[in-house]
Amino acid sequence: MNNRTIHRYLGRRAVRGTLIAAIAVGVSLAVVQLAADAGPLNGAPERHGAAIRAIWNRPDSGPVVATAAGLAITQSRLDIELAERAVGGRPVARALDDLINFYVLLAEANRQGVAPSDSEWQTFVASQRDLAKTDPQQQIARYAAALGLTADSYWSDPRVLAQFQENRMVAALKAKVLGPVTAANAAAAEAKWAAYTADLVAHATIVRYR
Amino acid sequence: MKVIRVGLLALTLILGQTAFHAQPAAASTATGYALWWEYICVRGCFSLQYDVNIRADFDSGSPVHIYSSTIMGCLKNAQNVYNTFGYAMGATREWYIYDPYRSGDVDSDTLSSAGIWPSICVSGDWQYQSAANNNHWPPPGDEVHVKSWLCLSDGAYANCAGQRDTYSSQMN
Repeated sequence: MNNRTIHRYLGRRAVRGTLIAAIAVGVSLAVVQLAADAGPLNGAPERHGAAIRAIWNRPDSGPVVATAAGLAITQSRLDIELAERAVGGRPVARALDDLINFYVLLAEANRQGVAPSDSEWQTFVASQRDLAKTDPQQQIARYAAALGLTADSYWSDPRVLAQFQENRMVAALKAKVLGPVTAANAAAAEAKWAAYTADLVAHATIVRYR
Repeated sequence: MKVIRVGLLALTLILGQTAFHAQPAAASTATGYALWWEYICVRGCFSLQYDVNIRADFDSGSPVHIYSSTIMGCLKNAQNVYNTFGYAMGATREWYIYDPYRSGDVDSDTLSSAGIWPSICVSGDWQYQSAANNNHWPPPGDEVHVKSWLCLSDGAYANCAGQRDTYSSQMN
């Protein structure tokens, strides 16, 4: 129902109770519209940071919800994944399956003993620090603050680095499997990586406990 | 004879009125540029910066017709993101044309372009024609925006950053 329709409706039914109810509906719609216009990230750094911090502050990581190629996925790890998806407004239905597939790759990276490039990481962090300074919305700084960190300490906090480390390990495996990937060979390389991943998952021992 | 004169006068008035209301198509070109910072989370949260260039060739009138126009979005530091995390593939954008100053019904459309990172830029051609029965959108002088999403994908899922205005122009 748009504003024009609401106004016509109010004109026809000038009953006090209906008016109040309609105003409430209108306000609700306006709030929803404002939220939609603002996109999913309006206030998201704070909300997301608070959610992750609450998970970090739990007394333990909770039960193991699945194992993928011998790696355990705990309830806390799954909850971090779910919180992350909530930020982007992404569906959560496949969160555990996607995490399992990712952990199969992580297990393979561990097995092969791949090592992420420190120089690439330092380049990345340096660029991130620059971006954080210039971002008019200070999004990473706000996320870090909600975690109880600063924009600088964010990039040295062991809990944050542990999460990035998972990606870096899988990226190192990917680089080993594919070799250098540039715009020229990206499509073919991604197809090869998808086939490699599917094969690993198909042969991995996966146990779900929920 | 008087009847004929009155008839001609009425016909003139009708034709004049019709001509007054008809909006003759006028070809125009509008361009836009925007630079955005985004916060994105794919097993860890970090910042992204990208810029968007848009060129729209359009005929204003009823309906408006945007034709042979281009958008190009460029992710900064794309190769480093790819090297570091192994993803950033299959980025897509969706484009929304809307009129921010009209209440009630607003005509809009969703367009998309897709590209393969770590190419520095993705581009796409897009066309738009307003609904034929909506002959008031956009009225001359209104501002038209295009909104964008920036999405990164690791192959399993795409994570999209916030929706932003990237372009505005006066419709002639």
